[in-house]
Amino acid sequence: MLFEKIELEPSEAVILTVRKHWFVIFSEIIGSFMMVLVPLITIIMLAFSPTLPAAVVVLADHFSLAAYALSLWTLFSLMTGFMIWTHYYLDLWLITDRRIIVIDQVRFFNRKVSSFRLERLQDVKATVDGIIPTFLNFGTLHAHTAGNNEENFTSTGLPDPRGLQATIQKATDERLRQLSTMTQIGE
Amino acid sequence: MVPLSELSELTIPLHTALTLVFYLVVAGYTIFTFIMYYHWNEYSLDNKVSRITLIFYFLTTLPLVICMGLITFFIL
Repeated sequence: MLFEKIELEPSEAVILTVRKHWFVIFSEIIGSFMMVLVPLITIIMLAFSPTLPAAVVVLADHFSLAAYALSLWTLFSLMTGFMIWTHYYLDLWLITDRRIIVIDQVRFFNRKVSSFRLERLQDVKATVDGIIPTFLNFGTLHAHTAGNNEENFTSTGLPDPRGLQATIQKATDERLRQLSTMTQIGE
Repeated sequence: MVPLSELSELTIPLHTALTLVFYLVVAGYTIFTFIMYYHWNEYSLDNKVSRITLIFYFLTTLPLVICMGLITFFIL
């Protein structure tokens, strides 16, 4: 499992796990679902079409061949659907009380895992752009880190980006307060 | 260049073509299944979701592969 691989620090607590908005997976997987339905819709349309009854007769004559082709088509459509679901589910932002871990599952063999500590966070920007994202409340989150190797982390299609931004900001403030207290105790 | 008149003699019989396609599909399906299983096993946060996904995957795809195999070897 993933938590064993990430190796959270002792007493590090996960505040939030965020995946992309349901509309993102819906809009991607609907294509795969339509692909499954295409042969069935075609057969139904042929059956009810007055001009093309011969096509149905041909299909009935070669039923096993049609079933073979239908199985092949459906199998590929389902595999595409499961691939989309896998990429959706394994793509996430993990916000702990000490750092943010961004996992970007681009393809099956392209997985990017980035992690940065909250005290290095310089700026978090939430963007909601478009009619559907505004109504369904999802958008893009940009995180900009400070330090020698400045990095930008961007994820699109995240749900409630402003709420997420607030959570990250709150966690960062809390972390900075903790570090400041620890420094004062040390002195 | 093969004359068009002789082309019909060179074409693969339908059963052979379907058997070849079936073997290729089985190979592709096996590799895809292995990759998918690996990803869900290694990178998932929730065992329950992984289990449900894999069960649903096998329940929906395996009958199709079996159906193709039955058509290839027993019906056609």
